[in-house]
Amino acid sequence: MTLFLSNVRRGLPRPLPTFGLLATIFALLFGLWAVATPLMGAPDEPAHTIKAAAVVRGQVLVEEGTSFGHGVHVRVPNYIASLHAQSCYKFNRAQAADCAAPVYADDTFTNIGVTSAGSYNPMYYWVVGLPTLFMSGAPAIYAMRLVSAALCALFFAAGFTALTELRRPKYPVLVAALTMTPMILFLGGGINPNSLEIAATMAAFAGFVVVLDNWRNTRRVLPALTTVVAATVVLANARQISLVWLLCALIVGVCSFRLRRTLAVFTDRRVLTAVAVAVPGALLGFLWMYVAANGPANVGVAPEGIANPHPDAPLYRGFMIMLDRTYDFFPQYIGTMGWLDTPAPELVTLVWGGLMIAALVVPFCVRPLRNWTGYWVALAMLYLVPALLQTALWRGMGFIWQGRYTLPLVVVLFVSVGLGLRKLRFPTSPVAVHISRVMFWLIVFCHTLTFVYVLRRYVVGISEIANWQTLFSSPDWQPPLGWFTLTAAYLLVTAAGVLLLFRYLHPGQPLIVRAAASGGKVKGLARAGRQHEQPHVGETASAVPNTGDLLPPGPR
Amino acid sequence: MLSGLLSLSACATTPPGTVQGALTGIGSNAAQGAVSAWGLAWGGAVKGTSVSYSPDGSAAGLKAFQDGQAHFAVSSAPLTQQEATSVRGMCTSDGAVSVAAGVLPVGVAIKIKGVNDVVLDAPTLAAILQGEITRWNDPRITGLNTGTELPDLEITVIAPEGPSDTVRPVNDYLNGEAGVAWDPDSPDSWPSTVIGQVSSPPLDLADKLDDTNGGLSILDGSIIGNRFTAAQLVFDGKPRRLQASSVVDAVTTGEVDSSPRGVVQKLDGASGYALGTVLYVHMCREYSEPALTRLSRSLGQSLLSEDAQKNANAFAFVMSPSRTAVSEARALIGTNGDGQ
Repeated sequence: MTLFLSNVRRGLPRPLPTFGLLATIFALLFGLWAVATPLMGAPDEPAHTIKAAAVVRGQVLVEEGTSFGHGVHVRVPNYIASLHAQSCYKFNRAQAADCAAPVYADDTFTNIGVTSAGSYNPMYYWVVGLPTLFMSGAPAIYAMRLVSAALCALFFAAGFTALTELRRPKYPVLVAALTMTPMILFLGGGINPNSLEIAATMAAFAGFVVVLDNWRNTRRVLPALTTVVAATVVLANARQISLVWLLCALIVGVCSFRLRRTLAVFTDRRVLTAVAVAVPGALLGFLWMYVAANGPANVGVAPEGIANPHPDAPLYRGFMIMLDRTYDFFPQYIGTMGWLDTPAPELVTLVWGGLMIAALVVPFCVRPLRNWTGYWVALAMLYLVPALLQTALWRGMGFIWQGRYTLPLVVVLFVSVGLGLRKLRFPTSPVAVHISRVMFWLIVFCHTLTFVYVLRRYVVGISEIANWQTLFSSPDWQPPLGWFTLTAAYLLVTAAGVLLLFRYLHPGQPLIVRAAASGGKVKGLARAGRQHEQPHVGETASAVPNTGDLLPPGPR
Repeated sequence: MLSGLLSLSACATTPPGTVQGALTGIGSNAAQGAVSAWGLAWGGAVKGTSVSYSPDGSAAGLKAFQDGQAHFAVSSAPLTQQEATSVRGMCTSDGAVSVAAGVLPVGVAIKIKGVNDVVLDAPTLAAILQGEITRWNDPRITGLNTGTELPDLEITVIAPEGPSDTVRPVNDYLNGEAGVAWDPDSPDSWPSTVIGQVSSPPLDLADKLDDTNGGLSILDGSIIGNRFTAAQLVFDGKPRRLQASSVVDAVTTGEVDSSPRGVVQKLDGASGYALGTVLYVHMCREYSEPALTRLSRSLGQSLLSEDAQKNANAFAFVMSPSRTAVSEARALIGTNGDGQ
């Protein structure tokens, strides 16, 4: 704790401690979501939990005669096999989670479990399923969530650490931090490779652009290069669609810099070594895809509800519907928790919606437009890639797309906005610092509000009347440690994360201003703002010293 | 923190007699709606229970049940004595039982612009399905429909490809009729002479029928609903309309055969519309795990309860078996696992 506080006081420390600090904060945030969400409250969690328990018991490949319309049948302990029975509150936000039965630790006889993730790459599940080999019951499932949360935390931390290694890192780090919506944090607490996919895509993109940014001296960014390799291997072995996100991230990265730089980077010895390590790992992913595609035939077709095929529908219709709905998915990027049954409070959607719109519009305001090639490409991808993927699935599966599937691309898009902004001088005037301070507290408030709102949904259910008081007076369900303790912890951790970010962006400035001092400062803000020389929109920092490097001199 | 840890450690041991968990079933596509309704009723009545059901067909269901890939199966025919005793899978050497749990009416759906009522009898329907009658104004049809002007329009047969649970009752209907040459290879497959067989899910068949003026198909009552005209069929010399009340009449007076291996429901054409798929649920007499025996007994009792049967009727147009059949099936399932 002392180390943490001293690090916070100094701004961000060097790569390894930075990584450790960020991994701790992300792990705590994801961990709190993991504990706050009732078992199987995360989307498709039963299918992924059952798959993980099967994989660690050696059921890696789909066996002949075990694949049915509703999924693959595996043999797992009964407390895992029965997890579909936890879904009584699913799709019904008025229903508190107390309708779910306890998960008993001695309920371990081997039974049939049904998983729709039967043909997925086993890598993620091998790791996440491990706790079920030496634990049982609800604690084992919480442990699985925590393992998944730790994995995601490692990759998000690696991604952010990499971004701090950019030559002008402040804008990219700021925008990346704001992209950590409540939805991303919520997903990090559940058992579903979707969250790892988002984290690894972010890490791969961040590491890659850092390498490109430091093309003349890749030795300086070896941690970032390592991050790219690890994230590439993980993405190739997460889900089949993950390879698409990896490709998108790499293309946007290349487009964010001059092509000459990319070509030069790929002649670098260290980069070539990294490629040599990453390629076999990626090939393993392709090998799995081949094996899965040639697995035993399914005896049936997915029943209605799992798939709603449109065998005769024209393909262009699916494509056009997706294009039409591009911005309908934004609330899901911000926060549609549970089984798409618990949208974040309107205030939170408004705040993040405003931030996202601002980020999308900024590139239109800052010249020259060609500096934003990466952004334009990422924006085009946000429109086209999900539409193309959904179109490919349209006839066989129906309309299945959810906003969370696109989140890896969303993170890449917004970080690319930060990359485009990095040539601008980061504002340091008292007005800017004060606005930043207010916005950061607003972000803490919104994260915490979402957390407690989702807890309210599970503790007492969301009703038409504002039943907040029943959280205290008559809770129907309680997460481990109780909702109040978790909320307080969540507030503290988000505040710590935001404090770290604020100190990094505005070294020496306090996030909390004492009331008396604040009054005096506020009065003086306008005057100070007038006196401070501000960079004009479009002004670049090419002649400005690197204001992003806040570390004391020394090896990095 | 203490309360959190206590709440987790309190869940370490299952209280004796606990009934909770998920059961997996495979079987008839026609039963999908009913099983879903039964599962909802069960989950509402018994905390912590659920059903995963895959409508992969009766044959796939029976195979999965016998291979130990399903806790229960649903099909349109009861297990034979030999099948019931020889089932292993998840069952002990006591084998399995099968009980009638619902009746899904089946209809001859027609699509003729401007025509809302048609009567067909068994010989006429057989002739249409075999392509011997090709136009709606054929004298054999108009003879049954005096007062109704039928157009000079080609009949397009859109029949579900067998084996299918909707084919079985039609075969039964046509097989029993004197003067009809109807010889299917198996009870749920059409004779090779039947034309217009289409390999599509029932809802796609309905879409095709919707697009075909002059079309005729065999669909279950839940799909026909108000979307299509269902032909009145002649039973015991009287035309019967596809209506819930008429089907209930046929069920109520239908014969019920009970044995230690199951309860079989038949439909009585003398008192009502008797074209329907009887849905049979097959369960182990006793599972190798006592918890599964308790769980399946609970499901069996629940799906035969009034609430579950009402659910199935409301959501899936599946009628309840007769009171006698329900009562005997509940009694039989209640004895499952008595040897434990």
